[in-house]
Amino acid sequence: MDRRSFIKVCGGTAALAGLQTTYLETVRAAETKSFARVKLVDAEGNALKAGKLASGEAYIFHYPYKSTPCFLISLGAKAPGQKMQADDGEYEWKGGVGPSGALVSYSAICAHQLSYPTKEHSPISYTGGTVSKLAGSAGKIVCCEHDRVYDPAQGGKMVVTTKEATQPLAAIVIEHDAATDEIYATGVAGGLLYDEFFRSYKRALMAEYGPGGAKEEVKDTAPTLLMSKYTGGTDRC
Amino acid sequence: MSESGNDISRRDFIKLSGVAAAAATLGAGAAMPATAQAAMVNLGGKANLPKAKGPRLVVVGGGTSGLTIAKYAKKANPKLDVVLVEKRDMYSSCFASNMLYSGLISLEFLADHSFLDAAVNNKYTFFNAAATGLDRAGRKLMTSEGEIDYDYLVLAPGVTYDYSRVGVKDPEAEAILRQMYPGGFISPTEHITIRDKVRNFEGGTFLLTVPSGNYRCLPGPFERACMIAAAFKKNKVKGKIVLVDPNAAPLVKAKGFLSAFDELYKGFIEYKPNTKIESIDVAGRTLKTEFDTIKFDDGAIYPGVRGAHILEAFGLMDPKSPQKEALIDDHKYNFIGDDRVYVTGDSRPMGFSKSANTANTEGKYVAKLIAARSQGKEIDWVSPETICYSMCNSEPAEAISVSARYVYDPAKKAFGFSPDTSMDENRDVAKGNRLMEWNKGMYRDLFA
Repeated sequence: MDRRSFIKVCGGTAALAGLQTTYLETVRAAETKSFARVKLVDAEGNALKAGKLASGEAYIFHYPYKSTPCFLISLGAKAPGQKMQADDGEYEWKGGVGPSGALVSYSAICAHQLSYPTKEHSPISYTGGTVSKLAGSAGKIVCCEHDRVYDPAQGGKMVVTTKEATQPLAAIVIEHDAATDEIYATGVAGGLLYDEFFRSYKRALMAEYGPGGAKEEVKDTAPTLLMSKYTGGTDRC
Repeated sequence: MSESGNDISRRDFIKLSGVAAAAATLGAGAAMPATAQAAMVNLGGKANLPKAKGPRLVVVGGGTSGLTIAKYAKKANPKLDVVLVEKRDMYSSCFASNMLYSGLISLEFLADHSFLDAAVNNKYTFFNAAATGLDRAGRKLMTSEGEIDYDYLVLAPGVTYDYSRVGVKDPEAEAILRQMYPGGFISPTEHITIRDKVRNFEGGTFLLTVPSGNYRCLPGPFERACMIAAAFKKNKVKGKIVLVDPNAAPLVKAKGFLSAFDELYKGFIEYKPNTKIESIDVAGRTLKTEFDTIKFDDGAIYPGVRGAHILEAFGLMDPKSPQKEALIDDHKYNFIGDDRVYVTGDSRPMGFSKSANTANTEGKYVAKLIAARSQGKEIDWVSPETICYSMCNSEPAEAISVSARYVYDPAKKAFGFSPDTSMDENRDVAKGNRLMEWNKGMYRDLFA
């Protein structure tokens, strides 16, 4: 066998290994993964102040990647941390932050089938004070595409309905700076679905962000908008 | 003609000659030597596949059920070597296809999804072949491209039409009906034909029929009537749809459909409930019901469905099943007496709705079950989820919906809808949006 055909054979074997063997995922384990420390800012680029957030509606910002949306929610009450169970193992959700421990943040990509808010339309949203028909209560994150309900006061855990349970929404690790009242995102905890997300929406993301743009990590600041300002229409259920 | 079939009468001989003559005119068949043709059926040789790297799961059928099972079985037990066998070389979904008729979507929406991408993304092997035989004792599946050894086999072959349900027993009449007035609930080529019938309809009566029994997509014929009527209304066609239904009312979302017929399509849809088709005269374009004769100018005749033919050929059909469905355990899906062979999707005998969300959620359960069994474990049954939207209007796109699960009644040995079943029958744009999102979500789940 000459050198060239040896390379060919090796190449072929390597490619075949990809057919059936292991999943080559970048991040799978349900541990907290750190990303850049990013300050949440308003549309003008001024720091968002925790004390001035509206509480009946979620805010949307993108983190840790330019294309991956997150909810920022100011709940009415303190949300204590708890141990959580994702598909790939246990993790710790540290609970709400801010002066009253009521500020929480989650990935806005549904843990069931990856529906997410776009500028045009969103099937997933925070219901605020409105009682959702689906959830039977207020203050939940609902995804109307396949009737999934998550509780932002419980680490984003799926609320038990007759639907088969999915893992919790991934939690965005946020910090509150008591001196400045500013909010920072620093990482993600729980079942990360970013590989699936990038694969599922490849075409749409390529059109919106250009080659490689969707996977660019967010640095320094993340513009944060009220959901109603961010998206054209929100499904209710 | 001989009843025993042991000797060939003159008439049979003529029939056979006809078949041979027809075959001779088909280029590929005629060019193939007799031995090769025999091999197509009887099969020699192994399929050209890489050696299995773990217990091999072969899934036959690349519809909603098969695509779901191939993906999620591999996810649940990555050691499984999964091969998806599908005879089509292009995917096109049956779900969402009614929207073609009103122009809400193009064919690309249904068909722009690749089997190859699904396999690459989800680490299984796509094998483009038709299943032709089964050796359960030797655990071999025969295909048009050679035989495949399996450790576990799932057949998700879908349905085939049953024309006897509309009084058509003559094979020639059936063949004409299939070709001239296709049912439009199985293959993409039917969808395209019906779309063009609608686009080119110049006026008169357009016939649509609702089957008896548990047919694929219970609200489908009613949604179809709405979508075609929307097109007629928009194109100002001087014609109407006659929708013939053996049942007293639509089996699901009746209120939503009947109010759409009344409020949106007055003059465009004539709904005839409690009307059983007794016979169809294809040449005269006439349909006979118990009380009535209906003349039609064009249409799509959905006769009813039964389990796919390969179940019967492979000895997996329940001889007592009225719709010729599979003889399987109603909670575990394996063929009775063989825990290596499973039948899922619309050929199942359980009375679940024959719809995509049902097949998708059922598939996730069966995938986990086979993954568990391949590791010597068992899991508990979970109900499929039927989430089904129907588009009722096209400008604007408004839909209605139903969400249901199933509970088992051991006394009746049958499944019924769970008490939390909910219908949302007030058509609106919000549900129209949710319908579109649901479709996209389904494609993502099957292919990404």
